[in-house]
Amino acid sequence: MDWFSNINHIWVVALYPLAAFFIIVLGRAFGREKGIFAKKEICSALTIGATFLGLLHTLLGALPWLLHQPGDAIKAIEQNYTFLQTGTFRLSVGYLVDSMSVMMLFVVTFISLLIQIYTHGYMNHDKGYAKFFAYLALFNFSMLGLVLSTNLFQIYIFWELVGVSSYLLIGFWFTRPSAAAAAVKAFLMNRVGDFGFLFGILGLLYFSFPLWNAYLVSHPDMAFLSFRALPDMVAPIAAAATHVNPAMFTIICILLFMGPMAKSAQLPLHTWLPDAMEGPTPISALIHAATMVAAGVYLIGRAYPVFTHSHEAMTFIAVIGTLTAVVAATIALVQYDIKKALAYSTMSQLGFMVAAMGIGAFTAGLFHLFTHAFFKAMLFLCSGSVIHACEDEQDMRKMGGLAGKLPITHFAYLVGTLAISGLLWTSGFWSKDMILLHAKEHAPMISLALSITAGMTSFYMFRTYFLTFLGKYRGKAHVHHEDTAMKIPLAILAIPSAFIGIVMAGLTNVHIPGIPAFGEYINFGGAELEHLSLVQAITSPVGMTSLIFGLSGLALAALFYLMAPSIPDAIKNSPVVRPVFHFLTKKWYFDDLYQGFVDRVYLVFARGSATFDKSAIDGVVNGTGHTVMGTGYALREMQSGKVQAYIAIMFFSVVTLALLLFYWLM
Amino acid sequence: MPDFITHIGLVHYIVLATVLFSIGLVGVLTNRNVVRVLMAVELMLSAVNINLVAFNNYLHTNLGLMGQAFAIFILTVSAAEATVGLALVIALYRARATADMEDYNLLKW
Repeated sequence: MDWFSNINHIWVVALYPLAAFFIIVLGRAFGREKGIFAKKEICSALTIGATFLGLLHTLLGALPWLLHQPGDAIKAIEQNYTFLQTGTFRLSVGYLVDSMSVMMLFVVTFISLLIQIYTHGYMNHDKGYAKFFAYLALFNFSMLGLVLSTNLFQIYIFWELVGVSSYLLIGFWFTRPSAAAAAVKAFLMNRVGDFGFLFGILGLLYFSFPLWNAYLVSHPDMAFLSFRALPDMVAPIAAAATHVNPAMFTIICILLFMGPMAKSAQLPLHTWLPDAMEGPTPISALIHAATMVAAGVYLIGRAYPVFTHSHEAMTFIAVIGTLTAVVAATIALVQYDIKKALAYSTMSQLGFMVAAMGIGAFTAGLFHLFTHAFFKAMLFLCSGSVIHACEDEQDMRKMGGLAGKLPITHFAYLVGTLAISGLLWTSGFWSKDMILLHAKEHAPMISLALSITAGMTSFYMFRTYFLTFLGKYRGKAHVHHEDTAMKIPLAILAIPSAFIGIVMAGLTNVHIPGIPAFGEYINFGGAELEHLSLVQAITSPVGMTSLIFGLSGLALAALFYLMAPSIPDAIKNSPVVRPVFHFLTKKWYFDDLYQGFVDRVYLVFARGSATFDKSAIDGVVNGTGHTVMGTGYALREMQSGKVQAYIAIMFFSVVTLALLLFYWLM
Repeated sequence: MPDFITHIGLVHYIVLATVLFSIGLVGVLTNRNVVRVLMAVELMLSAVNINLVAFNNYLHTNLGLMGQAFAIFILTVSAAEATVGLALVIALYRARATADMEDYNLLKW
């Protein structure tokens, strides 16, 4: 127990899954054909065990450590080890434990554990079961490493590692062409973002390079570009950058933001996330809803001192986040694939978080990340359960009436839908209202856009709920019952999805001893939010607005999909709405735009380059060869094989040279 | 009596060497028998030796007897060279059953 409760051992959390990954991979590669690693349950037990140990560390070590400190003076633990050194530059890796990393540790280990248990049920008959668990372990290692990173370089390394795991898992059923294409797309899209991210990091380093050695002497526990050093360093960096060009610092911030843009599926780098639903559903739940996609928001939080220093960058972030929230919500309105609808809702919620970060609502953004992780993971697991029960059917038009067959799934999905719609004091209600509250005070336009989006969210989420669980069953497949390993995680996740907001939002008088308010520990020097009673939380202007929007979404969905199913079809076919509907079905033409860019611009340019290469460059190279060959053909006639001819040539050449030399010297 | 008959000078030696060299050169270029070519090469070497000794004797350089020393060296080397050359000729003859230069024409394009 001492081993688990020692806060200095927290870094081991990331090493457990790495060990599990290597044991599974090496055990299966070199083990005997009928050895223990050939048993698939051994592999899943290793991965689940590793995650369980990580959760133990978090619950017994990290959380008590955090809670035993007063909220306003949290001592961060940072430990760095040199990874490589060139000249005066030192790249360090290490671990950083503070309130943010503890929060993420808890989210990642807790949700991972439940999803891995669920996976045991979901993937039980899949041939790649053991490989899947090995990949899950690799992902867990990468994600925990990212969470514990001390500096921007380390987070970049793990950023790429989660990208690789995501690629492997999206393309897990790589024999399907669509899955393989989706994996490549995700990878390429993320490359675009990572490219900017890397340049942002290098820009920060470039403008602060001479300062670090002196700074690190007085702060020996930190490293180059340590997150904890950013508040001190950002002013000199900004000054140096602005000295070169007034816009330089903002450009660096926006480059840095390109990483989160790709990873958290923000416009215009979002197109990979819906396609990533080709991966197995537990992956959609774990990576593409709860943890990895939130890494972008986490990074914004980590580098917050940098972003807050540039007003333009913050505005940019807020606008991108809001646009993403709105666009994704509109696309989600017309999706019939249950996973696609959830994917767009994820994107929309990520837009909420990013917008919150952009308007300065640090606590609210991270709180929404926190609550969203629980209910969105649960919603995806429910969709997996539904898909599993309907024999791999994902089209909601062929579902319906599943509430009776899948009671636990139905209950969990209802809780999740209420939570994401922000109704009835569920977790999403608090985190979303915290964002809206902040937006109303600081950015009224964004507040309006997000409120409308919240209404749309409520509409499309209840639409999926009604289409899937209520009404009559419209499919042909025989509906199976739920698997036990899949029911338990759903039931457990329903608890935080429903209640974690009310106990941790810190907006109300409801306090459970021992459980602190979120904002007390995770804040950025922001103002304290007022405390309200449960009724006040609803009747305050913001609460009232979001309640009205949420309820109207619910009512509209009920009208369209429960009472009068003919209405949506009629609206869809009306001449005014039809083009809009088509536009939304085409996902705002983003994919077509990119495809068109590749076809019309990129490929034309590439073909031009290829022609230039083949004619000009190859012409020079081959021309040199041909010249040499031709000269050789001409001169070979001299090699006649007649020795005396050689001697004669030699003699007369020497005589000629001697005469020339003679006259030249004269 | 003309002066060039009564007094033997440097020019005589040079003319002698040139004649000898030319005979050697013609021999090398025109003879088809390898042994004769080899002998002609020896003639050309001798012509060079005469030049060296004559220049050393008439030009009163401060080089001492370097020309003579060179001639001795060349004689020694040419003796060795003749030995090797003849050995090669015998080897060639055994391989190709001919001593005709025209038949030694394998090394060409």
